[in-house]
Amino acid sequence: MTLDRRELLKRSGMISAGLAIGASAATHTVAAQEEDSLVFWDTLNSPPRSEIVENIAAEFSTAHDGITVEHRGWTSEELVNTLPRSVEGDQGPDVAQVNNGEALTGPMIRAGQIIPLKDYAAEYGWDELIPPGLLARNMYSADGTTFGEGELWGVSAESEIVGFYYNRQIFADNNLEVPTTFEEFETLLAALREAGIEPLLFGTLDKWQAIHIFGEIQGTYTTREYLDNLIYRRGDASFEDQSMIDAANKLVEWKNNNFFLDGFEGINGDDATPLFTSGAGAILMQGSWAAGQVTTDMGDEAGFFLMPPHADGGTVLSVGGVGIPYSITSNAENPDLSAELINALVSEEAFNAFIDAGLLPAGEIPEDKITADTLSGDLYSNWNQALADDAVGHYLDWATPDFYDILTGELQKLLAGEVDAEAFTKALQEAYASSFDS
Amino acid sequence: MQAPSTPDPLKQITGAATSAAPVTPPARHGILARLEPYLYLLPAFLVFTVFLALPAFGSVILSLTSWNGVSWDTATFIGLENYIDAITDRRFQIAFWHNIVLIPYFVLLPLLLGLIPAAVVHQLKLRGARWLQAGLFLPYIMPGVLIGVVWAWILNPIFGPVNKILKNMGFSPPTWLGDFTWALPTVGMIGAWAAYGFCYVIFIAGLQKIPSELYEAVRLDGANTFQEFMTVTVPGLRREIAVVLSVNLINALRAFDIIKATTDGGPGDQTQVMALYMINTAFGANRAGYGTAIAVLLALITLIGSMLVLRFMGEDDA
Amino acid sequence: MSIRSAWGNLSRSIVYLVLMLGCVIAIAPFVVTILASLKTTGELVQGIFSLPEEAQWKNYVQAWNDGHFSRFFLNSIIVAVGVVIPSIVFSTMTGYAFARFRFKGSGILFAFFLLGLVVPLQALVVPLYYLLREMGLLDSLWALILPQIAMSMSFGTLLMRQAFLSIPREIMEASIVDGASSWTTLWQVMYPLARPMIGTTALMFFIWTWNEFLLPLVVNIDPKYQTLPVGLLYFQQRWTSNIPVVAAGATIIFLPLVAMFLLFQRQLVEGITQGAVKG
Repeated sequence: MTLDRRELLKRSGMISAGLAIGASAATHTVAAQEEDSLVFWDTLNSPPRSEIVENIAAEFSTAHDGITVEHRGWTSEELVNTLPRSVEGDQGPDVAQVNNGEALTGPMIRAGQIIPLKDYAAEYGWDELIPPGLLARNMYSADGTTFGEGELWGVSAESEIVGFYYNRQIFADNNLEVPTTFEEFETLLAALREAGIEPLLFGTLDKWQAIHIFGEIQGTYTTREYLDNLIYRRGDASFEDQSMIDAANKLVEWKNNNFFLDGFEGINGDDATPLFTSGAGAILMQGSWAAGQVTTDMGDEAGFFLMPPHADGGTVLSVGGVGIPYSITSNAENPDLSAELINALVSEEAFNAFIDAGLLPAGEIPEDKITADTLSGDLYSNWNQALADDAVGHYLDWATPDFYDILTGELQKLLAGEVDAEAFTKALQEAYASSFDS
Repeated sequence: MQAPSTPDPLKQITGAATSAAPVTPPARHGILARLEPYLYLLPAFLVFTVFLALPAFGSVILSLTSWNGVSWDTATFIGLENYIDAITDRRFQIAFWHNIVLIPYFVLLPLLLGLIPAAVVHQLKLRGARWLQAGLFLPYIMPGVLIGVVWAWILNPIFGPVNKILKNMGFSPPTWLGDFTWALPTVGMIGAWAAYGFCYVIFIAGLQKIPSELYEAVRLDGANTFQEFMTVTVPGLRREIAVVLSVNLINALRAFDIIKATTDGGPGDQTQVMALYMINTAFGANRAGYGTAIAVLLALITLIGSMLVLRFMGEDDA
Repeated sequence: MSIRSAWGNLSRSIVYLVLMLGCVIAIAPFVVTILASLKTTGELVQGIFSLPEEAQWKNYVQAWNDGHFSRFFLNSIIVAVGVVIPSIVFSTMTGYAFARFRFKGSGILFAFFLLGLVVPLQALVVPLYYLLREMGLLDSLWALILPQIAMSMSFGTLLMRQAFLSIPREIMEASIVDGASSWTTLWQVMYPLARPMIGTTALMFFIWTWNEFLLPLVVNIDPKYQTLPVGLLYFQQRWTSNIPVVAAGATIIFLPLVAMFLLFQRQLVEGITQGAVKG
């Protein structure tokens, strides 16, 4: 009898002990794995972009034998949602693309989750890679309170600009030309719809392209100064601005004129690209990062143009800027090595790899890489021009930490006719203004 | 010694623990003897306490603080402020309302779609319907994510079959999950689809337990089919109906998986629900205290809902 | 035949048809998905029920490799087994304790164990996340196994206690009279008698664990430790515009569930019916 009770005691004890040992063993395994590897997260989650960085990672790994370099691609929304707590939970990467401005960089600096890159920048010359107007987007004051000035916190491997890919064949068949003014663009879209062709392709189900289409239109009504003040939060700009109201009204007008793909609210942003390349529509609104895929699927049958200005003159600021910059997280095991990886991602080799794939790397594109009448030729010449004209705008969701949710929510309401332009800008301003309180 | 209770599975579970009092055999004494039951409980107790009871307790504490989840010293005690904020938070109210809206779809619709065919099949004594039960039941055992992913592509306005067929038939259908008015009802219908087979199977099983004498008695009194249904079938299925109502009510209030895989709360806030809002505030917005308060509210609402169902169905044991 | 029986036959047929329709609607989405998984994106846009020219098995290869489904599958199995076995063992022990012994505090302890029936995962997940973080268990399979064992305790204890209470007392007492210890009685006498109930419970635990989504989503970020449901979500986000590949991934997940269902159909239905009562 006593024997069995002892046995019972033994067994209960063993089970409990087993659990405890197992738990610590597991933690050990996890910890051990981190020492030999360098992990970097970004939004390059599909080919050809993902392949480019993964090749660089593989080469880096070979060059530093013994270190495994692990890449993980995300959707930008999930990355923003997951990165901060992964750093806190020590589950995070060593290097990560951190979305600019108040969208993520500001908050992460203030929470001590990414480290300053000043010294590495000096060592590697990262300040010289891109013009000051663009570099500012990766800069914050040392305490993380002022955006657009101070020191460097991230390094971009790519440049970004949002524009319009067009199907040359469809244009030719319908005697259409690349529009040089906004009004010509509208006529063009109407003509396409008349001819029974889907004019403008994009998708807003997963929200982010709504920001782009709005931003593109708003860019024709706005000024450099206003937009900079707004995004860099200099305190004197408001969302209840005529440019915003005009843009909102124009956006709804375009939707009501059926300029947009039938069913655009029900597909994701990335779904529109294969539609375009399969010939289901004439024009695709997308960023330069999609050029690789369009080149692969369509080659030079596609062209590219930026949003044109209004007929009465004035400038256009196209949505875009720097590619999401790579930062080093505060719990990176080996910051020096991490900085080396970043440097590899912005090396000349990487630069050329992007160009070979038809993508837009960080900086100005050398003339010898631009061939006329090709997709990449269009993209690069437009980009260089925008750089020269200082006509690269901003992403409006950088304005506050929760602006992505608020802006996309309000845009979906605007597009559905739930709110009018005034209510729309008012809601945005409320959120923007309250972000200055805390 | 007492006779064992009637082996009615449902009764076994919901019946109160009033069976024979356990007996410790007289021949054993000593410390180890008295410790015996506790030893049996020990391993379970450890795991349960650490990974369930402790976090449950922690929820209450956390909900009373304001914390960004970064380091412990940034947590500040703020009492019931989170709860007041939540109740007055427009986005939480919207989320709550959406959960309520899902109730007719997740709960009532499958109930009817399951009950009526089951009653009819039972009455007609339809044989061979057994194998159909397999197909009907299948959606219920699938993970919510899978159901969401499958329906997301089927309802895709460009690539999916549904809109293609509707367009061929001459209609101009909405974009379903992307449409402001249709998104929530669409999610609701997906939930109804997932649950009606389950309801049917439960009711068929329950119907077989209703003694046929009851039907005969009522028929002798001249009752027609509808009266039979109301006076014998429905009361006889009281337990099953209670089960179906509670389970599906909980699914409606705690909905998360399907929504994450289809709309992620959009478009706008049209399919925002409490569980999703909770996760987004706690982790996405770095407001751990506030998010937890919402979670506690969610738990309370679910509890109250379940109790109401049981009370409504006349069950005295919960 | 008489009008009555003709009408009877007609109504029978109608009902049968309705049932079949219900069944078809229930499984059609899965069938269509399997079909889509074997097409190319181009073929998908063409026709729904059309068969592909050539079965695109490469979609499955892509899901399995690039989509890391092989890893997710393995993790799901490890976690499921790692949860079910201890849960059954522990619930058997606790159920037995409450059924067999009378001891001080049993009422309170029993109520304590039932806590899990009342507290949903949603209310636990935030503090649980921080607890696991402190314990250094984030991004591990333990982060999934341990909490889910805990979550199974309430239902398991309740069921096993009832199962043991429904076994005639004479059997247990006979074993005691024979001089067997409580431990021996449990595993050699009571457990075999409760087998059917245990089998059903195990099945329930397996399905709940296999389908668990919120917990892995929150605590594990590294795909090395992720399970199938979350894996599917990541997969969908990554391949959003390539529907046949997404369909292949979805098929990889539901085929085993279908197989399991067909094998254990009766027990599953019984188990979920009873499990449903837990709420």
